[in-house]
Amino acid sequence: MNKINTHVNATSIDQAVAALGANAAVVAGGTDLYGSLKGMIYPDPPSTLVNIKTIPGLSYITEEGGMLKLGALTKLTDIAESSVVAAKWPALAAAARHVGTLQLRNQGTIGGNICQSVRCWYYRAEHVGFNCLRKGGPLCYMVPGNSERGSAIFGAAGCFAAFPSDTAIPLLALGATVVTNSRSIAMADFYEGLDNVLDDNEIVTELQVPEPASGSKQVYMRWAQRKALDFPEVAVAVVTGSGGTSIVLGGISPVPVKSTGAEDAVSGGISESSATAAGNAAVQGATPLPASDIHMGNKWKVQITKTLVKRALLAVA
Amino acid sequence: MHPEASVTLEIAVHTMAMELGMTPLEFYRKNLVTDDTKNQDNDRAMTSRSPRVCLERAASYIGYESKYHAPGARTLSDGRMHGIGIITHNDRHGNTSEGRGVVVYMNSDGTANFVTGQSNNQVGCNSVGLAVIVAEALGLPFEAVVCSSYGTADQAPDGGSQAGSRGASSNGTAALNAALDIREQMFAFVAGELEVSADDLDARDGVIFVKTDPSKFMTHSDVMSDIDGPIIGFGRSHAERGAIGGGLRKPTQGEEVGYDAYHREGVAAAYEVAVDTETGEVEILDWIHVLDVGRILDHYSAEGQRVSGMWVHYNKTFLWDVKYDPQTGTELHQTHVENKTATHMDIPEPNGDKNTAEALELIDAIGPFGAHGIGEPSAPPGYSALIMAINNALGGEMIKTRPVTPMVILKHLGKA
Repeated sequence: MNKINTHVNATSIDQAVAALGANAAVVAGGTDLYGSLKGMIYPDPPSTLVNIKTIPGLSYITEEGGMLKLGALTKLTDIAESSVVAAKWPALAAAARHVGTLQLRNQGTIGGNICQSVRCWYYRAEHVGFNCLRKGGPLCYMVPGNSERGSAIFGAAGCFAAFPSDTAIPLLALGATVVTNSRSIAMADFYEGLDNVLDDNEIVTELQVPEPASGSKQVYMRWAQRKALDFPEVAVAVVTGSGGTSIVLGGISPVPVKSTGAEDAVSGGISESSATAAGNAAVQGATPLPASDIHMGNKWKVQITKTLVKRALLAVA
Repeated sequence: MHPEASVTLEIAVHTMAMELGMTPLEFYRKNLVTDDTKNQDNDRAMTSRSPRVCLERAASYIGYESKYHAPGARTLSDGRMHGIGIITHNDRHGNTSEGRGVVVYMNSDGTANFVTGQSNNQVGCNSVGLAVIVAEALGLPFEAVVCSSYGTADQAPDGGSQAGSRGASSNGTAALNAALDIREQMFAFVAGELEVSADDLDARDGVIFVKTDPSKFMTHSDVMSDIDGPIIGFGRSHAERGAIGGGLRKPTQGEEVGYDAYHREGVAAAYEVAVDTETGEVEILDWIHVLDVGRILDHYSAEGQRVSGMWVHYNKTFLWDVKYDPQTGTELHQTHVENKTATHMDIPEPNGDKNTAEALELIDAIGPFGAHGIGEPSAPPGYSALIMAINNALGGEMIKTRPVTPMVILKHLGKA
């Protein structure tokens, strides 16, 4: 395991921010970070860990003025089982319920879930087995390598690692806002390029999710090889409303994708044919990675994405 | 037969059946040896009873004859493809190895301890399985027999390879022979004390008694108090008491055990599936797994072995895989997130009248009290049956690669 020189149990956001820097990492549930450190996947690992679990008042689920507010340290189990969330934001509850296992959901937080790193097996290779593009290396090894799982069909900046978060997908579809110690960021602007836009001295403190319009329907679907303990290879959230249908996809690019093409396809209403068209539109321009003699590539994700978009739309029709 | 070989063989069997215009079930029925078939090398009977019984039970449970259809010919009302598969074979695992040993010691209070070189690795194969054999042969209650040492070459006789399939028949035979050695010594002493022939004696529940007059008896404890010197039994897994080379264990303790034939474990499995052709996902609608376990020594362990076979079927069919980087050969699935094994949410475990694993006690001709090993045989047939059910659902050229992941199915359908 990487050597940690400094461990700070922060008691306030200000103290946590003061301890942060370029070579520090925030620890909340730790379910992502500790695996990364144990596997020694980073060429320049953090030497300082800033524990924010010790900051009081960052775990809550409240509804205020039609706005769902989630403290950044709120456990995924609490969100999955919350009657408040289930009543008006069932897609978010469903996404939280799909994360990992019960033990992981008891430990993992909503703030961590939207900020987690990709699960690309080249990026995660132990002892920096592959110094990939994300780590300052020369290339994305998915492209010439084995891209059968955890890979994207829409690359970004040369990277084909797939975005693994469940909860970020409905949060984006629902128009959520990320609140940090220094600003508020619309989920639509929270991811850019290969990652989120948080600065080195920035910590997520709250998620705000607006109440869906009356009559709005929403659904979250995901595809994985296992029914538990698996990251979504493809995820889709659909939220209908008077302003149109919001369709967000996960697992097919390094960050979540709001599929405007798919949304346009159902602008006239959701039917079998328009849902099929939306599925096709969702993968328009995809560049799946090719198969080789020893692996399948990831063209199969195109088929799964089309199917999931269609089925999610028909589920809310 | 190991799982991968089983699938390869069954692909050939199913291909032959289709070429001949037969269902796989009809093909099996026509080709399984009959009860009067003899091994041409040694003229011993080769029974087909065990595979046949298992096959017919699996076929009956799953409703194979009414549900079978040509590959790719049945679509369910929800648009998924229906498939059904059935497999049987005569598994040759669990044979009896020569030269394994067990030593049984009678204690002064009439209880017994034994030592074996076999590790206790199959959920109590020593502490339950061998203990049951020793207790039964000595006429002691189960709780009066304890495995006091195992798996250490300094203190125990050779236990053979530390593998599951041969323990019951090989080390079990050694345990039985060691216990019968003690039984002979104790019966000889009691016969002298009661002035009867040793052949007139029997033992049960810690008492050695005259069969025609049970009021005449000595307890095991009485014997150990009165006899001059220790009683130790030695047993080996061969020969004189009737394992391989010495004929069948027939009769043993006055009872005929085993059929006049040589076989190991007959096994059969059947799966019924629905395949989603848009996602490649397979739902197991129902399954049965039938094993001839010979004789159950430990119900808990036998149940675990039967049900856990299904986990192997599922994982080998859908999940267990090795992923490499094509350029460097580096293994890519370095954690259990990538190197996937099914969770309880994935596995359709036995549930009421659906999904069942059954044991048939058809009595092995060689193993102790008719038992034989069930280490490996629970894995192959169900694995093959599940893959054949998927092939039956999809039609077209048979999928021969493993695992049959949704990705493989989508590729088979031209969608990946």
